[in-house]
Amino acid sequence: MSRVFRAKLRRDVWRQRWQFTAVALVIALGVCVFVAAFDAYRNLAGSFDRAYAEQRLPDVVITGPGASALAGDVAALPGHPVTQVRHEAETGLRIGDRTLLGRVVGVPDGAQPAVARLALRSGRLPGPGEVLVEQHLADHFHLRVGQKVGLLGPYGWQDFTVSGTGLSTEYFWPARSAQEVMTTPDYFGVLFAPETTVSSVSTAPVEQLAVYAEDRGAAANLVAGTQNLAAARGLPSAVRADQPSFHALDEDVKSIGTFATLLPCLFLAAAVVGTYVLLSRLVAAQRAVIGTLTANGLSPHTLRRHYLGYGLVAGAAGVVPGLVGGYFFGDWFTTQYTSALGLPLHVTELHPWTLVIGAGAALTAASLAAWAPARAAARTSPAEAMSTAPPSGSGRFSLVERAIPPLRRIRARWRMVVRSTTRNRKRSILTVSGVAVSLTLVLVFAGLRDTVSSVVDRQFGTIQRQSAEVSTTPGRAASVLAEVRTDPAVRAAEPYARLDVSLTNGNRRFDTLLMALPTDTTMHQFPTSHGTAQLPARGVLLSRGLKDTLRLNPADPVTITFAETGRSLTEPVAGYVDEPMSAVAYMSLEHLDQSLGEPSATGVLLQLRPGADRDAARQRISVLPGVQAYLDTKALASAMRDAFSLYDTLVGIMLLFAAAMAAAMLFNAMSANVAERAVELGTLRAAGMAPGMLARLIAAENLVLVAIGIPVGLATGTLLARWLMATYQTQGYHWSLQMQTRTPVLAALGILVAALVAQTPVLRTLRRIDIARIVRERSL
Amino acid sequence: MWSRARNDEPDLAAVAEEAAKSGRPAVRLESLGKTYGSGASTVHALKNVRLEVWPGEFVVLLGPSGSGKTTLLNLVGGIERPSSGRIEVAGADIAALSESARTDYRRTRVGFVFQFFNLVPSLTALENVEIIAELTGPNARARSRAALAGVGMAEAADRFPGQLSGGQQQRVAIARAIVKEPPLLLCDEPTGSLDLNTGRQVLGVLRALAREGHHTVIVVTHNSAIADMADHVVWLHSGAVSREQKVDSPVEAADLWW
Repeated sequence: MSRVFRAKLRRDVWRQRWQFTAVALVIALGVCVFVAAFDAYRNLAGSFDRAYAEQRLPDVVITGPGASALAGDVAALPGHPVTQVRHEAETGLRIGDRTLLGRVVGVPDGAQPAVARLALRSGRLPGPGEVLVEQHLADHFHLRVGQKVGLLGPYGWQDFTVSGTGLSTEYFWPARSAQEVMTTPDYFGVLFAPETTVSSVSTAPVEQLAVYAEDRGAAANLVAGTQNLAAARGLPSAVRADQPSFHALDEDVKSIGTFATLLPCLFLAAAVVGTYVLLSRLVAAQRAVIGTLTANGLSPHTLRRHYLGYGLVAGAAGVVPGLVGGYFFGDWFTTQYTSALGLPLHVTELHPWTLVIGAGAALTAASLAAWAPARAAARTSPAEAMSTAPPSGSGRFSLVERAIPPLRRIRARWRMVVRSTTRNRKRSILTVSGVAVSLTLVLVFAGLRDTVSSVVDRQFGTIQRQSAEVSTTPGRAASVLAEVRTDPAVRAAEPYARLDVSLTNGNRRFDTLLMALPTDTTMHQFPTSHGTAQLPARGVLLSRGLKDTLRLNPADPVTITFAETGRSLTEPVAGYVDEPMSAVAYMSLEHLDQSLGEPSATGVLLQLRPGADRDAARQRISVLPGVQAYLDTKALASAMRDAFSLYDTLVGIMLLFAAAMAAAMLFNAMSANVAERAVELGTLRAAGMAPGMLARLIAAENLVLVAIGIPVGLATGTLLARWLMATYQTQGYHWSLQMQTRTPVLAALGILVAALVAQTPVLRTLRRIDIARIVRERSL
Repeated sequence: MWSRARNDEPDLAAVAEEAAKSGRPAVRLESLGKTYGSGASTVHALKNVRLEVWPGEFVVLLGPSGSGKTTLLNLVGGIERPSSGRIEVAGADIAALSESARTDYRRTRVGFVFQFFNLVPSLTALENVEIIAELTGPNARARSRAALAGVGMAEAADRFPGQLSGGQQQRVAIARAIVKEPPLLLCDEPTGSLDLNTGRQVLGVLRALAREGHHTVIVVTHNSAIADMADHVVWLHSGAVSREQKVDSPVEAADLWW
């Protein structure tokens, strides 16, 4: 490009600096989101991978009596296996005045296990009489080295000293099981202790063999070989994908990866629209210049290159702040995410390829957007461009006027508003698209946040109606129930059983929980697609998610195998329940007791009286003999909300980004609109139309486009959020989009405000319009 | 406001009515000057212009490019403010008016016709007239039809500008200017984009408006042939009036040739 052309480009850009800035802003947002999301995705995935490797997250775990006997056989398999035999015990855990469910995982005395190593955060590995507290639990209760915790053993509560705190890759997300992914440290906590301690707090600890492949390339083969060995002994084995923490975090990272692809596409699409509108207008305004240059022999190729340069300038202007912003935003997101999980593995690496791809995508998008205007410039014939009076454009009655004839009788100025929306159809469509994309962006995040909130409200407000759940030691449910019923704060209490089971239908099997409740329970509602169901006297109600997993229809028999005893029952499927946060089975407690021939209750569900002191009730009930854990439903709901609180921040950020994008696009569309119609607007001003009236008309035109874009955005945003929600489903969580009524209203209002703000500078120029110059020079 | 006087501004409607009765000039320019820029780049577009235009006159302002014709028209039309001097329209000084009062002045007292018609392409001929008629009173549609009929465009009322010839568009522009029934019609090169025959038709319409409608018409042109049909011809040169001539028996537009 020659020096003169570079000067022309530079000055043109400067003359329309605000319009170019608006485009650059949208491009910068796109690059920023791409770099941030992709870097966060890669940093998190890298962090987890590194931690899994350093701490040797088991590739497979065999569980059950005799698992340890397989250690030798597994060690002989290829893949350089490392094995660790350990025992786990489920027990009551007392920290201060709190009583909760505890899991004690056995580790070598004062040493690291070979597999599932611990990352010490404070203190040292536990010796006799000591426990190492899992970090989430330690943080929640502010546990320090030297403090005491109580464990409920066969002979009552025993105190142990905290030797330290640390993280285990198996509890990065401290899930109790695949079915209880969402817990709170008030309910469930993990401790690591010498094997002798595990034996002292449980008469029947679960035996496990954890296996890790040192040769990562042979991990799959080792897993397959180990599973075969386990199956031959009739022992269940769980691979990483079955491991609750690994599974939950893997899903999260995958969803971040989805956003890393989707969101930048939305922003860059908007940037393409904005660049196209700006450059189309520029080329139209320079028709005469282009014609003159062409008439003087300038090649179309040079012209095309020149106008492509404008796109590249806009792209380049957005790339640098986008890359810098993306780096810091990604760093911030990774930090927020890891700190929300309480993880120390915040790894932020600069990924050069992310920057290159981000910059390349932005420049490509800007070039693509500039391509059509540049081609139009190159194809402009000198004769057409040099004509003194440019074509005035062909008018037509708008579609809406044809559909609603009374509109033809409104005031002429408002008819102009109606018609102007379809005057430059391409630009109108692009403006509407910009509004729709912005709104889509907001709704996707707001929809996710609303769904989380709604699901928690539904699960803990409508479905689970108990104020608290009390776990008891074996055989003590009845006595605890009797005690609880006498508590002055308790309005109602009933027994329940929560048992680990396997559901099987032929060769289909699913490990889950069986919840047994009194047939006339008031503590739980069973929502179905048609309303609510009663707990049947016989048979089981299954969560809807299990219908496909087990391929079961109502009345089909399903085999229930109890993990602890190995006993089995066969019951008909009585129906399906629509629960958002669990994939469990329900049956009548009376029927279960009858079928097993013994009381099966494992705890008590209770409802407190309105206005009762929840904390005082918890303290009284927690110390009752036989109480293993006390879970306040409110605390669990609150913990779940906290777990998703990052969404609130992201919604806020995305609202800002989307509003900025909408404002930038509308600003450019309006600027082009006003500049293109400067003559007719100037003429109306010359004829005595007040600037305020003119501003109202132009504002109305744009608001009509915004009004068209809003329902489109609401529809696409809802559909996209619904799709994303569907991709987020797991066996444990079956969520559908639950958007609050006010969310689309507020989102639409936010975009409307952005549109109004974007109009302000353009409407100001209407007041400063130089009528004399416009009507005389006929500037375009 | 032109029709709703502010405390510090004259009630120009009343002044105009009084001026008409008193036989004062429709437009009187006194020591009018207009400069653009400042310092070394100052351009004196108009210098000490004195001129009187009487009600119902058809005035032609002639002069080469850069002589200040359009600037003069813009000043009289209230589009621009003078740098010095007075512009009395119907006896009131419009140079002193506020921005909003000048808007009102343009709305109620002045009609503009431009070289390039400047019609709104998305509105029909009738609607182009109507949008201005709505600014100045009731029955906008009926008045617009009458204005179009007055310039011989009744048949094309529902056509869009893109479907009209240049001459037809200019006649619609004239209808748009006169629908407010302004006492003052200001035309900037109204035939500049038209061929001879069409130009004659348009000038005939303007002449008739001055003669029968009692509008004061000021036409800016560089086409000296148009001077033959004027009542009053003013030559401008380098921003000053170089010559003035009253014509006793102007020719008809149809007899013009250029």
